[in-house]
Amino acid sequence: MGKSQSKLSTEELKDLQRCTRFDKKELQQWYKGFIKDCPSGELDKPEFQKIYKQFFPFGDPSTFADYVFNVFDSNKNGKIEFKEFIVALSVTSRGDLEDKLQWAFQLYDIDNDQSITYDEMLSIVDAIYKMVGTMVKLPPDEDTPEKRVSKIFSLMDKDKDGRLTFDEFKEGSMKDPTIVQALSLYDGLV
Amino acid sequence: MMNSGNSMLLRLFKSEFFNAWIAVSYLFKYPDAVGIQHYLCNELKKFPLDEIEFFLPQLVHLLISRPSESVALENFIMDRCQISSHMAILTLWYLQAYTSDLAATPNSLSFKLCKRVFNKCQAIVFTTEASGEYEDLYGKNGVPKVKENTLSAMVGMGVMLAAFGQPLMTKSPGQLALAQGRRPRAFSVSDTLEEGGLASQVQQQPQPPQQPQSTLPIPSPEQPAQPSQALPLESGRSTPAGGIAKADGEGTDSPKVVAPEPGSPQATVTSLNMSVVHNIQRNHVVTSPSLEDLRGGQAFKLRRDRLGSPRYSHDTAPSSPVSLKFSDRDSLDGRSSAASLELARRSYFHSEMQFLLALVDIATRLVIVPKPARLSALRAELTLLNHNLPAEICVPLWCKATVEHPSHHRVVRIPPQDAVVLNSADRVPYLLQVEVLETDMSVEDIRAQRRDLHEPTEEEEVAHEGHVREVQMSEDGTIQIEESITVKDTTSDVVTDGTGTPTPTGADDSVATTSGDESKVTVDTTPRKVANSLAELAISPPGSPLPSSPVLSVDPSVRMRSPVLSSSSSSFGRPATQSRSNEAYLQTVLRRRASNSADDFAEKMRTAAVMLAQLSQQQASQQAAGANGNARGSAQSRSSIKAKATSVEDIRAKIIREMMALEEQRMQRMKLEGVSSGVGGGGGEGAGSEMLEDERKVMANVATDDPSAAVFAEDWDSKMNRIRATSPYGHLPSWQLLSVIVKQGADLRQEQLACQLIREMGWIWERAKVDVWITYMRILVTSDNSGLIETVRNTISIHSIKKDAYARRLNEVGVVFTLYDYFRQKFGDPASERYIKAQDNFMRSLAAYSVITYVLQIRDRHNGNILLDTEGRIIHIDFGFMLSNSPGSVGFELAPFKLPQEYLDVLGGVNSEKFAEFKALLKKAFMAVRKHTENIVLLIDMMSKDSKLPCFQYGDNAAQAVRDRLAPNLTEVQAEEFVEKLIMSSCCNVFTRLYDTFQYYSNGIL
Repeated sequence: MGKSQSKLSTEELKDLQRCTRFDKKELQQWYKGFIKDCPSGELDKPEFQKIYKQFFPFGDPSTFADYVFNVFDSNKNGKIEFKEFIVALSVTSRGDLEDKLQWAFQLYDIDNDQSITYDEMLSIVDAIYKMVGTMVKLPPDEDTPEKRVSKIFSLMDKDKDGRLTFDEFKEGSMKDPTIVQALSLYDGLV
Repeated sequence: MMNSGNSMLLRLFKSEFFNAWIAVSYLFKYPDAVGIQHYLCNELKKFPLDEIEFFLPQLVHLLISRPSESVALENFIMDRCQISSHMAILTLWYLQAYTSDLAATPNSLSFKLCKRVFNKCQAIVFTTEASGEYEDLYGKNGVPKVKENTLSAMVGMGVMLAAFGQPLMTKSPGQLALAQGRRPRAFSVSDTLEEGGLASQVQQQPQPPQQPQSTLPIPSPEQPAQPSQALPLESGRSTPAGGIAKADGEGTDSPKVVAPEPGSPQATVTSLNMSVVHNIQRNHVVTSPSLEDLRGGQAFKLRRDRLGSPRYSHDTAPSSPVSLKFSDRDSLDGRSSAASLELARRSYFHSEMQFLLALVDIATRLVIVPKPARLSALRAELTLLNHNLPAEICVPLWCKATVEHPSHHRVVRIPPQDAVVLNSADRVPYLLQVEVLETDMSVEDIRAQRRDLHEPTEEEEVAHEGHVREVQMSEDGTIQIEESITVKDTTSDVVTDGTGTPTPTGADDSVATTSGDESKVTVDTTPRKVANSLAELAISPPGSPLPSSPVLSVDPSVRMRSPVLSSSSSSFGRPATQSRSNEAYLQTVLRRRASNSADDFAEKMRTAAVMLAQLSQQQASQQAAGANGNARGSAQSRSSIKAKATSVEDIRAKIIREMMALEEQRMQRMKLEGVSSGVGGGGGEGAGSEMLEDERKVMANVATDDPSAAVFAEDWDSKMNRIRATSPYGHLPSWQLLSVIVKQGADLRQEQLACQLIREMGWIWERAKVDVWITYMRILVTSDNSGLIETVRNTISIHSIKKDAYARRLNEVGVVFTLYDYFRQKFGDPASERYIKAQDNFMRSLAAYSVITYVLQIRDRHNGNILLDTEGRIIHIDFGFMLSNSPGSVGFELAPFKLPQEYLDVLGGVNSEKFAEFKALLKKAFMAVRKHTENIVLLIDMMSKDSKLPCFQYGDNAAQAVRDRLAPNLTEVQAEEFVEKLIMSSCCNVFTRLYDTFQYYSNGIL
């Protein structure tokens, strides 16, 4: 893959059916859409940033877009290919909550050491706040990235070691209905 | 790409200055910025609908002319259409007009977009969810699924990732990603082969391309069986009303779409495009009612067969068209209220559009009718239309219903005798009055109120017998001929009476004095169903060869004299009628008989008109087929075309002769039997003799060659009172009268733009407290070549004023009659209070219109296009030439605006105080507009891209030219000097005089 072609080959289809929850027809459809949007068959960081800028015109989404890009780019070759895209879509639209949380955890665990430090969390939250800008009114105890991160850790860092493990991450998310709701964005719609 | 500036932008959007205008202007400035588009459209939802409606032409134009990545605007417009039925209908018609505009380029993004949105809008108007592919499109909970939009999916997934960090920030971006994700896929990339199946679909479903642009109301066998009038444009599939489904369906579902062969000859391509247009026109939304429908009195009634939702079909769909009547109501109520509400809503839309299309179609048919018979034909048509009223329909733009107060008015009657043909060069617009009742009816209430309207109380029944009869008949849905027996009994006597003694009745006087050319009033409005003539008049179904025998072969005189005898089948008359005194009874019968024949006449006239229309279409299509070498559908084989052409000519001539004869007969009969026989009153027998006198008054007015002038001259209030007095609905407190001109063959979008600009300037002056006066007309665009225009009340054109003055020899022979003469004649001595008041009115309107005509470069300012109202105010109409275009051959309207000597005289001369006041006011008005230049420019700028309007065809940048005319670079003082110069160069401008002279010699306009 990675090269632009109009249809997925039989082998590719078989492979993708194994690692996603899509059937053949759906895979072909999405592949077609992908090739229309990225005729080269892959997407690099600047292109990815550009998309985010379209959707977040009033803020600066570039940093956050880079973090997200890294989550998509599972083989770390600096490009997002169709397979990476469709696997992520499969998780986010048809995976269960645990799958989604596993996937989301990667964003915050920047150094990939299976735990999220305060600084890691702050980097990500800061990027989110920059991206969205002043569009959303926030409660006073969350209106800066620092306050938000402090709140997260005070609520979820059970052992107070300054790090969130996946279990803590998962438990904290499940307790917050707004997070659960946000994670079900694509449920039943793809 | 615009990151740095955007926080400023957001600050503007959040500031107190933010308004709908700013929102619209930034929508226009950033068509491709997805986020901004969504933000602004969300904000726009907070503004009242009438503000949005004002911008609707611009918004639709922006949507269609700039296909963008963002779906925000499309979603916004559709969302508003969901809320407002008026908005939905207006939008649908705009889109239809654009579909015609773009039909020449069916592969353009704009066309595809237009087609798709049109289908969506149709789906909103006629159904909410009737889609065969419902389950494919929507998730379990009815939320539409997303399409294969990978970019928005990547944003959406990113938003999900951010959920943990700050869930509060994910809601609106998530929704944005979903909205963009639902964007139909096939559209975004120029991939004509895959989804441009339009041409191929035409092939799949060969349609005779001969179909007329405006559908003729010909009773065709398949029409009533049509599952839904709301067929999507792409009619290749059989999914009924599957607008959304079809629009979204992607090429991959049907991989065998046939693309046009690359090497196919040009001719075929054009013909395909042609048929695309016709396809659209034919399937468009609603057809105007057939003669059958009109006669049945049910044309605008709720009919199940028109409600094509497959969802209801299992329990309700009748196999044949059946009108909903009282007995049906129970079953209707028996359903879930949502379902029946839905039915009512769709029926409402359908009826409303059908009604307006019927009006437009009349104008189409009148073109073919010979001039002297047009007025009769018009009134005949309207009489038939009247049988179908009252109906639960409103006229958008005039209807005051809003989302908050969804009480639509209801059209109850169109007085045919007050309709007038406005002959123009090659088209026949006409003026008509529409009686409406303001109601508290919302669509939801319709069903509940049906009974109320149709079942008057006992008293009403006595007072408005005719009305009652009509209503009853329209309710029960079957054609019944009432009281024919009673009529029959007496008719024979009266007939011999009438024919035997051609003594002129009292009314003959007025006939004699008014008998110029253009027919008098003809037809009656007494409600009635005569179930005879169709058979004799044998309308041929579309496509089938015309009968070569003379169509109206029955001796008209015989038929006219004894129409009742032929409408044999009957039931018994109403007892109320019989209880009258003999003499009154005789009168009643007389009139009834007369109106019966008038009705008969109406149908014949209309039938003849329909046949003429058919003929000319056939001719046209034969020519087209001949040129194509590709005869299609049911048309005759090519070999016989030539022979046919000549016989068609013969038939045509024959029909016209018959119509003339018919007209002669009618005239004759009117002389014999009195005006009332031809006129027929307002539908109420109770109206009695005053009515007769009123009719005479009208007829005297309608007099000579320019019937419109006199009709316009009648004071609005007295006209309204007169009509009200004769209307069976006049006694109702909510009764109101609308006055509109129906036009066919003219694109009214430019007129509409002009009126919109004038309105905007009016607001500018109002806010700036500049005491000038303007008015504007509401204009309802129903397609790219038809629509309705509001008339300006109590006005007459300066041309007509002068003509009338010459006709009545108000001046000494050889002396020019000027506006100044008129003012003195009408308002008295220039020193009198009345004159001074009128002069002031004149001055304030003249100041405003001078600025308007200068800024917008409104041309063709001859006196036929300038009106004067009864208070002395001047009003400009007819905006066919403005901005960049001017009347072709003559480019000598060079003055900034029209300010001839006669205007100066009215004001008291250039040295008068009034003139000084005028100059000062004009300056003030100019400066105010100058300050808000961008308000005007935006409206023009938004409309100009890829516009088909004539006013944008010459000159590259009409908007910039407007800006320049307002002299943006001058200082305040310089600008005032500039205006002074404009005034002085307009004063008695030699070119103005030349133009009026030119108009006089070329068009006879005084």
